[in-house]
Amino acid sequence: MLKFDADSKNAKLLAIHYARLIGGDLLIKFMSGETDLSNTENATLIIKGFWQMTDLAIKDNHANKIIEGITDIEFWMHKLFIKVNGYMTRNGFKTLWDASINNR
Amino acid sequence: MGISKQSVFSHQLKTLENIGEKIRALILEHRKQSGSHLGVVFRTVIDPNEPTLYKEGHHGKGGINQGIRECDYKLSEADPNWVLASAAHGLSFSVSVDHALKITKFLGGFQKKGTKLNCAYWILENTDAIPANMEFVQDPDDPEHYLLTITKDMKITDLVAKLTWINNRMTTMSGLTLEAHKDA
Repeated sequence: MLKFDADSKNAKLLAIHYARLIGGDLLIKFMSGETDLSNTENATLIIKGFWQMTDLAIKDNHANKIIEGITDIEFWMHKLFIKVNGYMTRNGFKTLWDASINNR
Repeated sequence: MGISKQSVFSHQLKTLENIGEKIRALILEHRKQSGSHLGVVFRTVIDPNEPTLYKEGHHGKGGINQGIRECDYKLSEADPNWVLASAAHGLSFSVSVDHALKITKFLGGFQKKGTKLNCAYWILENTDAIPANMEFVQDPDDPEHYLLTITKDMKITDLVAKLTWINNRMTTMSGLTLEAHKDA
């Protein structure tokens, strides 16, 4: 599961915020750090959702929006990116994840 | 009809991947020779910032104090001229070119059109290469990601001096520049 602590609570807030906007139980639970991914199909869904979340975050960041009290969306989404990158790499979804980055 | 911006960006990335292969081989060789734990570390640099210090107006949306982003290090709430030791705060570094390029591409999406992004590297000859009271801490979430932390509270001017010292030892891979190709 994604792990969040007090120092990364802003990454979690953004993760949940954008996951809810995109929708889907699995995406929301994964981004909340409440579930693991059991197969490639689920990983594909989450990866797609993450990039949709990122696109929303980019728009909000550019518009200087404050989301969940957070002004520096780019910084905290970077933190979330590192968490997701680490998760996908550790759990056998590296090829799928790296391909999604290259296709952006 | 000219080449689309998307394909230009893809071409740039392909070029980086090819050069990345060569750099990976050099890193492995260097780590063997130096006996260093990390050997070489990499970091994304967004123009016009320097590898370890940011410029006002180009540092993101948070606070900045003497080139240090307030989100990167733990500034004392009682006295913002002091930085507190924390293993969870520090500048972000990658231990591989692949990892650094992923971050570069991710952050590129947040930049305004035309912003240049580079990858800079720092060769660590041995553990003495890291300034006193600083330490690389592996990110528990991602083994290829490290934070350059401070291990003792210090004045922000001291941290700036240390980061400037590191800055002078980092090399930006000129010619490997990526350019944000769409409006963020």
